[in-house]
This record gives sequence, C-alpha cells and structure tokens, in this order.
Amino acid sequence: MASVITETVPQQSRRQPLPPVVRGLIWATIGFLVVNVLMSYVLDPLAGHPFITNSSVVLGWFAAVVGWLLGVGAWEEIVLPSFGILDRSVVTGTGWRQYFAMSLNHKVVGIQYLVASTGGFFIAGLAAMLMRLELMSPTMWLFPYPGQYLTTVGIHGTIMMFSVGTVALVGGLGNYLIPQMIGSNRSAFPKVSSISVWLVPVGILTVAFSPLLGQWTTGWRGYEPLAQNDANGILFYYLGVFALTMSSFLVSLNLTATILFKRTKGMTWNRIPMFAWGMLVVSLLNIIWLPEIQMTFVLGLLDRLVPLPFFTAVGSNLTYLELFWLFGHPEVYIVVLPALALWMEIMPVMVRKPLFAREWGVIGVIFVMLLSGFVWAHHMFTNMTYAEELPFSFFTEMISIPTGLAYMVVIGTIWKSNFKLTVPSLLILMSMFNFLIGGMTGVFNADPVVDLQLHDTFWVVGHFHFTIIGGMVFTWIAAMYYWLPKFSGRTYNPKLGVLGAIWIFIGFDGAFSLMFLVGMEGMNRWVPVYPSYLQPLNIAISIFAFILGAGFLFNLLHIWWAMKSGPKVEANPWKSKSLEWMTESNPLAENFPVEPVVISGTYDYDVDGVAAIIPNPAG
Amino acid sequence: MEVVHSNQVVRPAAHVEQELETRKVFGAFVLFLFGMSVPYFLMINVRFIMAAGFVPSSADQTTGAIQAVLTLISALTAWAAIRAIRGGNTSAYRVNLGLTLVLGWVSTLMMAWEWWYHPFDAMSHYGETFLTTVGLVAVMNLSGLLTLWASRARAKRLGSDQTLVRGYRLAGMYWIFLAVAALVMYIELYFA
Amino acid sequence: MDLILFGVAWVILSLLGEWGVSAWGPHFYYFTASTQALDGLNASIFLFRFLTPIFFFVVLMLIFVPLRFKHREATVKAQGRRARTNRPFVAIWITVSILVNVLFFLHPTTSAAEQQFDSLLPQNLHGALIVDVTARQWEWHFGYPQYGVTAAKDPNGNDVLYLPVGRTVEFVLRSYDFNHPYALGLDVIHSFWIPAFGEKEDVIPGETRYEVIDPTVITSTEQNPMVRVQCAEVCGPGHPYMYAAVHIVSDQAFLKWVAAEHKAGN
Ligand code: HEM
Ligand SMILES: [Cu+2]
Ligand SMILES: [Cu+2]
Repeated sequence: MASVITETVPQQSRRQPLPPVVRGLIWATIGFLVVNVLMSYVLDPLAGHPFITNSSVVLGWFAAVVGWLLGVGAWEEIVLPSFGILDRSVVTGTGWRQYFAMSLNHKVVGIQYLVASTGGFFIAGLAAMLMRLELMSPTMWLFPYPGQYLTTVGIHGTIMMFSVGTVALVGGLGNYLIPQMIGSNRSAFPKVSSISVWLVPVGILTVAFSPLLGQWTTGWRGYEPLAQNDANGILFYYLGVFALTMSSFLVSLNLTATILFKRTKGMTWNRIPMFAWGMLVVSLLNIIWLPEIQMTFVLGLLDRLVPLPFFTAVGSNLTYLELFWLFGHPEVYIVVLPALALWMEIMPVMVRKPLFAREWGVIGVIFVMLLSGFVWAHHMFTNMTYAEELPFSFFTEMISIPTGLAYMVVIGTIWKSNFKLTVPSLLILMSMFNFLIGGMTGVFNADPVVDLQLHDTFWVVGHFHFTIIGGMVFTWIAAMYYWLPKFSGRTYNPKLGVLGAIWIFIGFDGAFSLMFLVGMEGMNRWVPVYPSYLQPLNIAISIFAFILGAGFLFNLLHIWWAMKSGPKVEANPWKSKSLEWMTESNPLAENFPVEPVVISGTYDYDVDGVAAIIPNPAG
Repeated sequence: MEVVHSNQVVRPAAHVEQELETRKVFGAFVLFLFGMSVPYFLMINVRFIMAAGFVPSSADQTTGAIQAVLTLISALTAWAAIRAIRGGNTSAYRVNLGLTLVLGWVSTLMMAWEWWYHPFDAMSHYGETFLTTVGLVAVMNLSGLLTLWASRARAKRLGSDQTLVRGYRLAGMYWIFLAVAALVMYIELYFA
Repeated sequence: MDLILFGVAWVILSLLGEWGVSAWGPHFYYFTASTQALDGLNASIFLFRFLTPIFFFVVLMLIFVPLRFKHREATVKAQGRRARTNRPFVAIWITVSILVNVLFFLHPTTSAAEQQFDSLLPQNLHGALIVDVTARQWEWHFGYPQYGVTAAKDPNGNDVLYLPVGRTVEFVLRSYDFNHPYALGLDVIHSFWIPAFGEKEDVIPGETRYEVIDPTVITSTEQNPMVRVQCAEVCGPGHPYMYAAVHIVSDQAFLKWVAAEHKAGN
C-alpha cells in the first residue's frame, strides 16, 4: 500500500503545457463549436440559419461539458486509465494549484465544492436582491418586462436549490468531513468526487446565463405546460439542472460507499457520527430521486426539441406536476436532513454532554427519509380532487413526528449541560428557532382547507425560506465557523462572529416573517406588479432583505479573513472527541498516517479520555 | 508538510484489504444500478399513465423480436466473459466481450432504425413513449458499449492481475443489467 | 429546581400566547367574505391553539438553556445512563407528538374534508348560481349560463364578476383560449383565487373543475382589494396582470346588473 501516500502527494511526472482549467475551457469551446456547426450547417435541413438552433445548442452544450471535464483532467485521470493507458498522469501542481485541478484529495474536493456552492449562493442572492428591489414598488420600475423578473425568480430558485441546498452540506462538508469522521484517509472513490465537482460551476453558469436563449417564466419548478410556451431560456434550465444533479448523484454514490465500506476499526454502526447518518440517508434519497427528475427533465427537453406532446396542454400536464413533486418533496428533505444531523453533531461538543437518545435521532432521520416519498402531492392540493387530499395530508402531518425527534435529541442534550455560547452554538440555536417556525407554518400548509388559501402566496415563500435558510443556511454558516480551525488552523473573531450571527438573524427573521403577513393579506407569488395596498409591507421586507444580503456578505468576508489571517489555534480547539479533530488542520495533508482505532462513542463527554487511539506503529 | 513513510504503517494483510475493496466496489455497484434503474421505472410509469397498455397493431414486431433476441444473446456472451475472466482466461474474456460488443452495437443500431421508421404517429401518446423509451435504452446502451470497449482494451494492455479482474467483471455485469432492462422495455413496448 | 423554573416560565408564556391567539387569531385571514374562508380561519385558530404551547416549549428551551446552564464548569457533570437518555421524557415527547398529529388529522383536516365533500353533493347545489370561469393567457372571463350572460363586462369593457350575497355559487373552471380555439396546445395552468373567499383552485387545460363558494358579505374590490380575482399560478409574463374586479351585491342589485349586461349585449 505504498501508493496510499503517493496518491495524495502531488505528482511531478510530466509537465503539462496548460493549466487544467484553461485547457478545459479551450476543449469546451472546441467541443461546442464542432458539434454546433455539425448540427446547424451539416445536419439541419435549413443549414446555418440561424447559427444557433435549439438542437444545436443542446447537443453543443453536451459536447462542451464533455470537453470541459476531459480538459480539466478526466482525460488523464479517468479515460486513459480505463483503456489501460497508465503512464500519463496529470500534474496537479502543489499548494493552491491543487484547487484548480482535479484532485484525489477529498479535502481539496470538499473545499472546491464549498467555494462553488458559495459562488452559486451569491449569484442567486444577487438575483434575490434585484427581485426585492423591484418589489419595493407596486409597478414595473427596475425590470422593463415582467418576463425578466420571472426569469430572475427562476434563476434564483434553481441555483439556490440545486447548487446550494443540495450541494453545500453534501458535496462540500460531506466530502471534506466524512472520510475523516469515520477514520479513513480517502473517500471510497476519490476519482468520482474529483470529477463531479467540476460539474457545479457548469450548472451554475448554465442557469445564470439562461437568458441568452430567452426568458423563461416557470420558476424553479419548470412548470408545465408553461415551459412549452416560454421562450428558449428553459433549455438552459434543463441542462444546468442536469449538470448539477449529476454532480450530486455521483457524490452521493461515493459518500454512501464511503460510509458503508471505509469505516476504520471500531467505528461500528452504533458509533457512526450523526452527520454520517445524515449523509447516508440523504445520499439514498439522491440516488433514487435525482435520476427520476433527470429523466423527467429529459422528457421536458424533448417536448421542446422534437417537439413531443408529453406535458403540453394536449398531453398530460398534471403528470409533469406529479413527477416533479415526487422528486421535489424529497428534495427539501435532501436540503434539510444534513442540517438536522449537524445540530446533533455539533451540540454535544458545545455543551460537553453525551448525545441524548442517540438511537431516536437516527430513527428520526431514517423515518423522515422513508416518509418523504409519500407526501409529494401536498404541493397539489389545489389541483386534485377533494378525495385525494386526505392520504397526502396524513403523511405530511405525520412527517413532523420524526422531524421533531431531532429537536428532542438536541433539547435533551443541552438540558442541564455545561452550555458554551459560542458562534456555532448560537447559530445552531437560531437555526433551530427558524426551522421551528418553518415547521409550524408547514402544519397550516398540511391542512388542505387552510392550504387552499395559503398555496402560491407569499405565506409559502416565507414558509420554505424559513425551512431552507433558517434550517439549512444558518446551520451551514454554523458549521463553517465550527470547522474553521479544521479548514485552516485558524479561528474567527468571536465578537465579529456574534455580530454576524445577530445581523443575519435580524435581517432574516424581519424579512421572512413579514412575508407571512403579506401573503395572508393577499399577495400571490411570481408577481413584479401587485395592488398598491401591499406596498408598505413589501418595502419593509425589502429593507430587511438588504440587511440580510449585507449580513451574508459580512459573514463571508469574516470567514474568508479568518481563514487567511485569523488567530492561530491548536489542532482541537473544541476538545471534540470526534475523529476529524485528530487530523492535522491542513487540507493538503494526509488524514491519518496510521489508521485510528475507535474505542468508545465519539459523543461520550461524560467520561474522560479519547474516543479513538492511533495504534503505535512499532507495536 | 509531513509525510509518514508507509513502511512504518501497520496494515491489515493484503487479502483482507482486497476482500474489503471487493465489498466496497460491488456494494457501490449495486447502489449505482439502483439509481440507474430509476429512469426505466419512470418510463414504464409514464407509459402506463399516457397510453395504458395500448400497443398499436402497426408496431413492427419483427424488428422488436430480432433486437430482443440479439440483446438476450449479448447478455449470455457477457456472462461467458465474466466466467472466463474469473478463471483468469483473458483471451476468452476478450473474445466474448468482443461478441457482446458486436451484438450490442447491432441491437443498438436497430433502435436507430426503429426511431427512423416508426410505423405509427410519433405525436400519439404511444408514439411518444415508444420513441423516448427506445431512446433511453439506446443512450444507456451506448454507455454500456463504451464501458465494454474500455474494459476490453484494458484487458489487452494490462492482463489479468487480481485487482483488475474486479473491473473486468463489473463491465460485463453492467452490460447484463442494461440487457435485462432493455428486455423489460421490449416486453413493455411490444406486449404490455 | 430548573424544571420548576422552566415549567412556570413555560406556562406563563403559553398563557400569554393563547391570549395572543384569541386577540389576533380572528384577524389571521385579514378579511373573510365567504363561509369557506371562515372554515379555513377557524381551522387555523384551532391549529394555533395547540401549536402555541409547543412553540413556546421549544423556544423557551432555546433561550432558557444557554442562560441558565452557562459556564457550569465542573460543578455538575451528568454521567452514565442518565446523561444519555431519559425514558419518561422520550416517551412523553413521542406520545404527545403522535397524539397532536392524529388530532390534527381528525380535526381540522378530516372534518373539513367532510364539508368539502358535502359542498359538492347535488342536493346542496340546488339553486346555486353557476358561473362559467374561463382562463386564458391572460384574462379571466365570466359567463352566467342561467341568465344568458356570456361575457360579463363592466362599462369599460373589463371582465367583472358579480355575485349575489347569501347564494351558493358554483364556479365552473376551464382553461382555453376562447379567442384562439384552434390553438389547443397553447394553454397553461392558471389558478382561480379570490383572497377574501379563502380558497383557490387550479384551472387546468383539458379539465373542467369546480369550486363552491357561499359569499357572506356585501363588498367589492373597490372597498377591499382582497375581494378580487387573482391568478395564483404562474402562467407567463402576464401572470401579475391576470386579475378582475369582484362585486358582491344584494339579490336585487344582482338582477339589476344582469339586466344591464343584457342591454349592453354581453
Ligand atoms: C438572500 C436571501 C433571500 C431572499 C431575500 C430571497 C427572496 C426570494 C423571493 C422574493 C422569492 C420570490 C417569491 C415569489 O415571487 O414566488 C424567492 C423565491 C425562491 N427562493 Fe429565495 N430568497 C433568499 C434566499 C434563498 C435561499 C438561500 C434559497 C435556497 C437555498 C432560496 C430558495 C428559493 C426558491 C426555491 C424560490 C422559489 C422560486 C420559484 O418560485 O420558482 N432563496 N426568494
Ligand atoms: Cu393565469
Ligand atoms: Cu397566473
């Protein structure tokens, strides 16, 4: 196993003429041009007229993605070896250069994912700011046309869901932390994650540049049959989502296999960290539902290209809604389950008490996963018959029971503990508060007679932002502060951290709790223009939203600063027993030169001593 | 950056590592197939929503049947290839894989023919599900053919080291999965 | 000791919360003009009643714990089984959450569904006013087949909806473009929503759907903008503009309006 170490150390076997990213861009351009020309000049009966057609841009896009992936390193790392040509390996470079190439180091990949996700977050956040700016007035004033506003809504929702919600905690923290947490030096299939991460920028940019092809007004759900009536921007929606979901699918395969098969000695099933449990259930959801939505979107795409009548007005448009929400509801649990798992992961460390009723926490996430496949049609109360409502209402109400177990576990853990109010624990408390509001408002949505009023109003916008920002984004930020010393060996400034937390809390709760009111008062979704009696509330919401946007930026800058020049700290500043804190705080280093052996639970803060030992190499 | 030299490291015996590695690879492969089967299920689902069990009388049963038989044989040759490589016989593996590739290409090209010459309205609900289902099978087949090709080239260049055999077997098994899926889709499109 | 302190604070907060529900709950829907909206409002208040103590239990925990158990360095260290689980607490938690959810499913969910089923029974629709609602990109179009009004318009030519107060209305919802009846493939889903009626139903190409409403108040869009027809499902760039004025009037005023529509040739 000498190769173990050489794999993570940069190889210098051959000079490569171009940096990988540059080569990827060149190959992508070539791929696009070749296929596009082929399609529009050679195969199209109306040759070359115009240069870019629906089919040429779609196939050209696929060629560009293939070119990009090969150029970034898949050619040497994956294609050639799988044909048995082993002597040509990529030069991944040293130091920062590793971040701009395919990397077999799971920590580098994790950071690549986190950076890409953060990029998506701020691009989509900018879109949100533009929307809020427009909504300060009841008339069109910022965007010349309503279609542009609606396109912005779609770009915002799509990038947020598929490049942040599903990616930051799974591709990002999952890749970075899971192997370390279970005592492994690498993920199960390092090459899989090393390539999948390069699909994220592709997906984000594809969606962000969708207006190049025209407006699309459907929002992130690509609703049919509207999608078939829209201009062609919707093509880049399908393609961008395809790239992003492909990325998450690959990561999920890798993480599941890592958790199942790469655990070190003593990391038994009842010692698996909660975050790993979260990753496991989320990955299973991804493995089922991402292919499902991809296939559905392929049908939508063919509806436009061929065109086929699947989901058009003369086809079956409700079929699309069913297929979308079959994926769509598990999707929101894909977003939030890792966050619930992180609460249970971080809180015991903060309060120096063992995790309370651990088995119920595990049962909770597993049952949420199972039930999440039975609730989809609660998004469709307004278009089903009354008789169909009851089963979906039932499962939707019941899913709050396993979700509530996460609260039970955390509350049991912090009760009579030695509570340390730090930036991460403060942010988790805030996250629990916000997700509680998200969940409680969901009870109203679960009840059809009430939902018929709430559906498609700003109440719902408030509800799902409370679950997603409140649940997932706050926890993501908590996790960034918590593992900052791990990422960089440095820590944040506590005062600035608390300021950042309170800042986003005020901005967030201000903006989104007012959305409940404006929704109840009669404001529907997807409108840049609304009756003027709703303006005062909208102005207030927008002001809070700008505060929130600035707050996110502040936290980003603070974390960035702390990583580069924050105060240095010891390797395990939180005195955590978890395995990831036994490793060196340098992302480029090997995790465990010697495989650790777990000897007790990683949450056993009631006893002194460590949870894992590194066996003495000599003995 | 410190690098500990691996000769100091206590590792489990090599065969235990190999055992673990095999479990990992096959476990992940099962998960992968699980995910890959979802699009097929979705198409079955869509077909019954859109067109129930309807099969047009104009459907070209001969083409469908020939293609199904070829697919079936290709699964058998893939299976023979797996047997051969488990016995360490690289050349038999390559021969059988070569057969699989030929059969696979022929049946996939027949799908292109089915596409081109569909004896029913493409805009009908049966027609659209037929064309997309066949398209799905064809695209997935292409991925399988690429895998087989790579595997065959690898076997030629690298021989049959124990650690490599796993990969050779996987390629064959992936093709068998695709063949079974194609057969199910055949039954669904031509008989259901 | 901690438990008692917590319990007292919880009870006080919950009582304050319930008082808040009583005071503010009836305004949750802002404005209601139909029995259906009142049903939804009452269901909501019921939910608020039960959610309030649960909400304050969790919120109080999130505030109480960090304040109360801060820096208990070494004084107490929970140990052994007691630190890891607490059977009665777990049992109570799970029982309560199951009970509350079953309760919510029985009431208001199922009980309200019963009412919805009932509302569509033929005997309950006897004498109902039938309004044909047709949605197209981007216009609401209203017809009154019982009164021979095919396209209800106000004097400016805008679509308008008049309803007599106290009479059951059955909306018949369809989506197609009556100006381009040959372009069947171009329709999209819309959603028929009058905020003050507390209910919306999607209008779907190729389907005929129904919504039954009992208006209870004489009012109009001019008096309260929550009394307006608003498309609630995104249907393209014109979606925000897809609204129409509503007037709920007395029986006589309704008949007078019908006569005026006839005279205008609508
Ligand atoms: C920076 C703070 C944010 C603000 C101010 C904001 C604001 C908004 C607004 C105004 C809408 C339009 C609602 C409508 O008209 O239907 C919206 C939609 C949406 N937002 Fe956000 N949002 C923010 C962050 C996020 C985040 C972090 C996520 C998820 C990770 C997210 C996911 C969505 C989704 C999925 C939609 C629905 C889009 C659609 O209707 O297709 N948002 N947001
Ligand atoms: Cu509409
Ligand atoms: Cu609309």
